[in-house]
Amino acid sequence: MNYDTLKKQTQIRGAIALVAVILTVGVSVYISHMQSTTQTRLYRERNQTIQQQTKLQRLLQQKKEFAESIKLWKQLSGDSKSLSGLKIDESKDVLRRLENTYKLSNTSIIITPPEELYDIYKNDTTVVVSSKVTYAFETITDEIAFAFINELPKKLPGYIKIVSLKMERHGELNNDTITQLYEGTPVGLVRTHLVFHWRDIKNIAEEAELTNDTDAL
Amino acid sequence: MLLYRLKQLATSLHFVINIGDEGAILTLFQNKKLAKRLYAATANDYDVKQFRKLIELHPKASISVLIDNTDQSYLRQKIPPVNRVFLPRLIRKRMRRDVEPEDFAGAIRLGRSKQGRKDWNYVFVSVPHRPPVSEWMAFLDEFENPIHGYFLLPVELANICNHYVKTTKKQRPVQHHWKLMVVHNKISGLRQVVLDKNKIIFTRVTNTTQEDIPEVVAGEIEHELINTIDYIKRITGDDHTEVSIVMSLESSIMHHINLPRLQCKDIHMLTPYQMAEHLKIENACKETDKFCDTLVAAHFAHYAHSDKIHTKKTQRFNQLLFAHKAALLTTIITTVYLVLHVIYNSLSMYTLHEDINYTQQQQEQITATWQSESKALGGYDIGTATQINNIANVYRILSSNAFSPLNSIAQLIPVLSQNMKVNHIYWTLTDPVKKGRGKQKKAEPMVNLTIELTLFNNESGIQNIFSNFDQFIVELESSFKEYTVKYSQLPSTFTFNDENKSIPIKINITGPNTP
Repeated sequence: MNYDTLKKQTQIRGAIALVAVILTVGVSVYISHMQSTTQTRLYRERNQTIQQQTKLQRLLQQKKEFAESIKLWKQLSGDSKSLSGLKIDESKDVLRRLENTYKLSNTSIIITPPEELYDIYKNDTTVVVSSKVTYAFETITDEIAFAFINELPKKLPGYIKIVSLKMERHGELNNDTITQLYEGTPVGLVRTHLVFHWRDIKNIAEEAELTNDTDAL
Repeated sequence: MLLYRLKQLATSLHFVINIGDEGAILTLFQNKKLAKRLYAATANDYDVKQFRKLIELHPKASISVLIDNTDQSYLRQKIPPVNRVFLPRLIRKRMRRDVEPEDFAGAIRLGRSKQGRKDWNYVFVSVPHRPPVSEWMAFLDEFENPIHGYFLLPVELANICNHYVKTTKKQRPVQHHWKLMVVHNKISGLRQVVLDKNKIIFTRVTNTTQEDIPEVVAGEIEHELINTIDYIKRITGDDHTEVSIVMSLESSIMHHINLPRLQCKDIHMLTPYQMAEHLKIENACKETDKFCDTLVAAHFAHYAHSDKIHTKKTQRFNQLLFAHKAALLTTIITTVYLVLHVIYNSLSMYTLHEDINYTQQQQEQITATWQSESKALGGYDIGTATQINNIANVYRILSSNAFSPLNSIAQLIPVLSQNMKVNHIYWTLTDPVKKGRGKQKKAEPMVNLTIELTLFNNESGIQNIFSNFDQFIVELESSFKEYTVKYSQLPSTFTFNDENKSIPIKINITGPNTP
């Protein structure tokens, strides 16, 4: 074989080899890209499945609780359903009415600013706000004080949890006190010092319309 | 036809052409066995007619050229002790100085000097690019057959000599390290190769003019051998240098050689046929063969090849041939890789798509379950249902009023008797849940109830006070079973004057106690 023939053949073979290499590299890159894209899609789909499964589990859990919860929800008053937190202004009138009813005298009330509670009192949609209320008053008898304490949670909007109660008798019913009562002067023989946590539920969920079931997935 | 092509592919064909001053011999080897041999006196068209026909019949068979002409130069050279890596460059540089670019050149390594500065010892060989070699090269250029390379026949003869020494070691060992290999070739004449320690030192060729008269040829051989032995003694500087002679000649010539005249004790004489038999090369020669040309060609085709020699042109040709093979190899490797890569990745992609389909099916099932289950929420969406559940949970917590002071008082009132008057009540609840972030230590709420009361005698007698008080404590502890009840004791002494007096008592109740 002479040099020129070999050169021509080598050039052809070289060109074929170059095309083969370029083709191989190109195909490899394309395949790698395709594989990477498909792999990413698979991860996305799997991730989506896991999310759907989690939501379904939550749904099944919610379903269990919901039967009981809906009964309770339907029993709640319109005020309780408003979920607007502590109604301080409204409570003023309630207390005034109770004071008149139970003839409370020498009343004093201290309310701390409402604070949000954590742990079991907070979830995705609601939070419990709480104020510490220190309420002191005097009554003629301890029975009246107990009756007032019994009535207070029923009338006051929200929920109360008494943490401290101090009652002290500092006088006896005698002719003077009976005269005062006839005259309409408030008489206090039992001094009560009541400390309670005043709590109510506040909605913290966004006001956006909730989606329908299938879209939630 | 297909069977014939397959057979051809499985058959290894190789041409060896011996070129000398007296013509050329073309041998064709099929699977290393001699298949055909042809002789041509010159490279002119008439003489090479048979050559051309045979080569054209096997266009894929490679051609090796063994040069056996007179114009061969063997020159011992010392190369400075450089690193082995730099040796080829240094050798090329040295050769460029001594050899013309168009001439053949090569280097045979003899080893390294053991004394002095330990130079590299080489024999530089060269063959001028002139007729008849140039004519035969031009002839071979006409064919498509790949040229395997150009080699020197004396170097191959040295290989044969070494092979003979190795194989005859047990039968009749070659005694001396200076060896003289003598063969009679048709294309060159009487070829002598001198070896020292198995390495070629020099070579000589003598044209035997009266080749048909054995006595004359034998005489010429005797004369040449004596001259060569004398020359060896001169270059070694020792008159007692012993030389072993290995001869491969026609039997009639061997019989007429006067061995005592050579003054050499270690002489090995074999006919070309015997030599081929000894070296176990089948069909290399016939018993009647006078010359060694085909023996050398067969040995060359059968065993490892000697070092190639190159002109600048053949060097370039060789490099191009390497590129030619490399390109083919690259194409094959990349194509195979591409095919395997595509197959592997296609399978992998198929598996991935299967996984995606399976995952999508799972999603569809989950969606279907979701839709059926969400109907149980009575028209509420999951968000609203979650909110209602949350509110209900919080409501349950807030509305549970297990620890109201009224409960404690309600437990206390039935226990109190007519002769008791409560003056002071202090009720506290220690709530374990505190405001603030982070985990709270789990603990039960604790109620602490302190009552200060007065116990009146009520004219029932001192004895009754004790019994009433004891009865009261028993009932109190019974009423507050889960609580710790502590109380102040009655006075340790009484006087009869104290009968109508009130007795203050302090009671402390804490709990509930955890089991």
